Amino acid sequence: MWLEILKEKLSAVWEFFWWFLFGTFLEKRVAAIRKEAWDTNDNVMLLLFGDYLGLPNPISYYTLELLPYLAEEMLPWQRRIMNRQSVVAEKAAQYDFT
Amino acid sequence: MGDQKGNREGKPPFIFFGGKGGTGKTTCSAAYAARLAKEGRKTLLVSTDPAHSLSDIVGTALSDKILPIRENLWGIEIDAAKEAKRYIAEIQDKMLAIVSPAIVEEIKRQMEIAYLSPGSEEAATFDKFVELMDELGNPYEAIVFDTAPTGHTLRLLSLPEILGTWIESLIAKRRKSLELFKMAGRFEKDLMKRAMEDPVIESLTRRQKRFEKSRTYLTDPKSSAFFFVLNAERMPILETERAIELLEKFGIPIGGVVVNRVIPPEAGDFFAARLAAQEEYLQDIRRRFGAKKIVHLPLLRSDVQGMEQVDAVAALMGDIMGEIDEAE
Ligand SMILES: Nc1ncnc2c1ncn2[C@@H]1O[C@H](COP(=O)(O)OP(=O)(O)OP(=O)(O)O)[C@@H](O)[C@H]1O
Ligand SMILES: [Mg+2]
Repeated sequence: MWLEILKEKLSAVWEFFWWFLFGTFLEKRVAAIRKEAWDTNDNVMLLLFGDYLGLPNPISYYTLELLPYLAEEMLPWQRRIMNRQSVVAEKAAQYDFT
Repeated sequence: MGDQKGNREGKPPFIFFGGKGGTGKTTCSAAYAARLAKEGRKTLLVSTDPAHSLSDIVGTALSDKILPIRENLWGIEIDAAKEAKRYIAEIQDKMLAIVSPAIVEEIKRQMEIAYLSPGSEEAATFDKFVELMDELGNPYEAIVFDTAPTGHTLRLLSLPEILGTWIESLIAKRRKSLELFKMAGRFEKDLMKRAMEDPVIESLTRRQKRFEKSRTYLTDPKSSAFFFVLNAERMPILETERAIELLEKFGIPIGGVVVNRVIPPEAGDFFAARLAAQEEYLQDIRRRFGAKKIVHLPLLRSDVQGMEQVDAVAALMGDIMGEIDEAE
């Protein structure tokens, strides 16, 4: 029994320590990963629904059945895509050539 | 393989007839299906022709529901536009159950775009093909497909090959993005949730499996054979050769070639010049397709109408599958 309690306490300490680490060192790294996640996600959306933007898509008939799951994402995604000056410009910005 | 001659187990259950417009695909499919039915195989005859000429030829008004034609023989005329509409209606229903009506409204236009996109009727036809093939055995033991003119059919049959690869790469990319969300989500609950359950990958994987399965159906000589119908003329010969090359590239077994409307030697003086030209084309056909089974079907006095005439054509066609076995 006491062992369980000790474990719990330790894990609470560990969690605190973790969040401390997170706050100081990892935040930037996580932000980068999060950005990459969204970018990859946007690219997947482009492959799925590119025909709405005029890109040919050999399986547009089949990607339709994904719409119920992706409909919520659809409009924000289109806004993001439209806002991008160009994909290249965005990629270039990531590398920070200055 | 000679022992399989005329043996029902020796014949693949899925037979396709293709070729240029008006060459006699529907006639040959009906004749072949009639023959299988006579041999006692429960046979389904499937037409994709929007002109619905199969009804005229078999003498039974067919529709997009399976209807009996005679003993052991059934027929269906696939309505691609209707199938596509049904598919889209299903998606819309599902969407209304998941997403808010406002978003559905905004996205409707995009659904229309996809519905009107060039490949949609082909895809709908293809899905129906696979649906029917899946039903093999209950009760149909053979399915004969009367396909649309060549280009359309080639695109149709190449779907699983091309789309399979495309879907595969999509799944990989989606996985990667979810992995990334998961990494970032270690610290954010809602991102984590996104990454855990993904109906998109589920749905894509289901599609991929379907394409894989249809590829297995189409490329296994034990389950499928594709026949080309052509007339003994220059352009159709070249086109058939190209089409055969393409199908073989996709691994689809070619059953043979039916040369239709062959002018019989007893046609008389009037046809003498045509007969001479035809002889050259027939030789050309033998030279190009000699490795495959070649069947000649004579020019008939009239159009083929009603099952009696279909039976007569079947008798003239011979057992194109059986004779293939002999040739091997
Ligand atoms: N050997 C033949 N002799 C005479 N008429 C024939 C012969 N074969 C087919 N026909 C007739 O030619 C017409 C076209 O044949 P069929 O409908 O089978 O061609 P198809 O390739 O299916 O055409 P489509 O590309 O329009 O679907 C029909 O009226 C049919 O009765
Ligand atoms: Mg036809």
